[in-house]
Amino acid sequence: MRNEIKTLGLTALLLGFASAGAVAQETNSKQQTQQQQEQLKQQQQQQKDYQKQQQDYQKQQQDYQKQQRELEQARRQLDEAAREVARLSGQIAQPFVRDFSRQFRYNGQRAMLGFATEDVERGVRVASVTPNGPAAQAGLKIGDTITEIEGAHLTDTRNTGGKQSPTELLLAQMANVDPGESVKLHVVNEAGAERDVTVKTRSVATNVWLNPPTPAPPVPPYSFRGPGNFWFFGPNPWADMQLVALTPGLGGYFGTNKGLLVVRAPEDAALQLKDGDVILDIGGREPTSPEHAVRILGSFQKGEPLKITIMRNKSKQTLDVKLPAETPG
Amino acid sequence: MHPSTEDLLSIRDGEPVDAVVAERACDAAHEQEIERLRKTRDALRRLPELAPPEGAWAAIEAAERETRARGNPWLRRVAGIGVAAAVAAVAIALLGLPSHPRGPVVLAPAPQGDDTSTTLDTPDLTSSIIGAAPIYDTDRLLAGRVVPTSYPALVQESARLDRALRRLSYQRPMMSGGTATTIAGLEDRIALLDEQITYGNARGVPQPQRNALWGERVELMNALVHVRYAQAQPTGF
Repeated sequence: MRNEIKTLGLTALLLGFASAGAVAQETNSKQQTQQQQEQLKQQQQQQKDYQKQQQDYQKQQQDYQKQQRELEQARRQLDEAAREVARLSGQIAQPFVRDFSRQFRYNGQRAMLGFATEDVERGVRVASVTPNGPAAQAGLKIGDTITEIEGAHLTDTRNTGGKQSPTELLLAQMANVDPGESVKLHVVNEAGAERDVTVKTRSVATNVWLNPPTPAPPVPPYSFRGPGNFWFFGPNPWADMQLVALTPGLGGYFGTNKGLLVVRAPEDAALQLKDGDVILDIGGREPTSPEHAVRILGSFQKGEPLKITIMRNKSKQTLDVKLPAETPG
Repeated sequence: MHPSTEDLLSIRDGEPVDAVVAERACDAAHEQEIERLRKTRDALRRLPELAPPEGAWAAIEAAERETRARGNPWLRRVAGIGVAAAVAAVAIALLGLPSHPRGPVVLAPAPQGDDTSTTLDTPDLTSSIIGAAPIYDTDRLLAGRVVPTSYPALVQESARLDRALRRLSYQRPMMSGGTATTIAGLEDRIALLDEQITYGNARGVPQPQRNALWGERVELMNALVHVRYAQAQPTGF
């Protein structure tokens, strides 16, 4: 009897341990499952966060590209507006200055100082300075008075028997100057301070419109309007090209310390340029700025061949280019 | 008891505190430290007063603002929108809106503070960045500006635009061939006008012709200032 009781007790004890173990195992199993579920949730959340970051990044990129496109579009509109202003203002002025313009136009090649004058007693007063012109580059300002050119006085002597006005005296002196030559001017500023200024002259651009086209020329794709208008009143083969002047720091990457970097080559293959080229010279002239480059390009006639020297992959090359002869399309 | 940092700072500034005074009496080592600090204070007091260079703080503030703006992508995006808005506003200014008749001489004024101001070198982009108001007053632009017709007024307006143009920074921005062609064309035409004005002045041409030449110069200068202004806006955002 006692043995039976012992056996039963042991059996009950074993069963108790077994059930307790089973419960513990189940509890552990549940905990593990919960942990796994939590880990899974965390992983899913991390994945979601990552996807959201990716989406945000893509949206930022899209926004950035959209803004860039809008900016380029706005600048193109601005360019067109500026050209329209030029065309209209030229037309308005034309009836008043037509005869005068003809007379002026056929007055021959002349060296330009880059300012307009008013006569004053001591000489000629600078009434305007041509933007980016020779006088501007030499530091002349509106209000300066030029009293001498190459040692010749510009004093107004008409009240004392003289025949020429200060401006006439100036033009007479300039008639002996070739474009590209330097002239020395004696200048008095508005405060009365005197100084000598050397101005390197340049020729008056000959491809500037005098008779703006009427009506406005069609914009796409090119607009050749003959001598006098050239590329100004419409897009041109290099309109979509992006240029920047090379700095010494940038130059090391391209194997040259001067020239214009082609950040984006024109889609039109006429100029044969590629992204990353550095333009060293165009037709033998070294461009110093994007404006200078297009000024040089604009001096060539349609269909005219020209040579463009470039650095490509740090190697100097010469491109034989022919500007489009006819309006495409 | 060791003196606290505050106590030492008070000593440095010539204001000994009771606790430190008591401590000094009982600790010779602290006496030496206090003496060293006193000497340092006296030496500092003997230094000459220095004033920062004029505009230094403004430059530091500007640099800090720039750093903050560069570090914040959201601000960069908003600044980008501001630049695009500024350029678009300039384009609208020149073109006029389609609903308004485009008179031949009715043009928007060059960007400026007010009619008499010539400051253009520090354009205020703040308003467009925060989106409160456009950089230019659209109503004012649409009202247009009749180019002056009298000779003195034309010359004066031309000079104002010349100053505005010079104050724009002539950095070396990246430029499209189209914009470069526009700028070069305007500059060349203005150059020829200046020659014509000088030539006309020498030949004594009638006043209406002189006014017409100056009027055209004002128009072209106005257009050039707008294009240059838009080009001078930073695009690296």
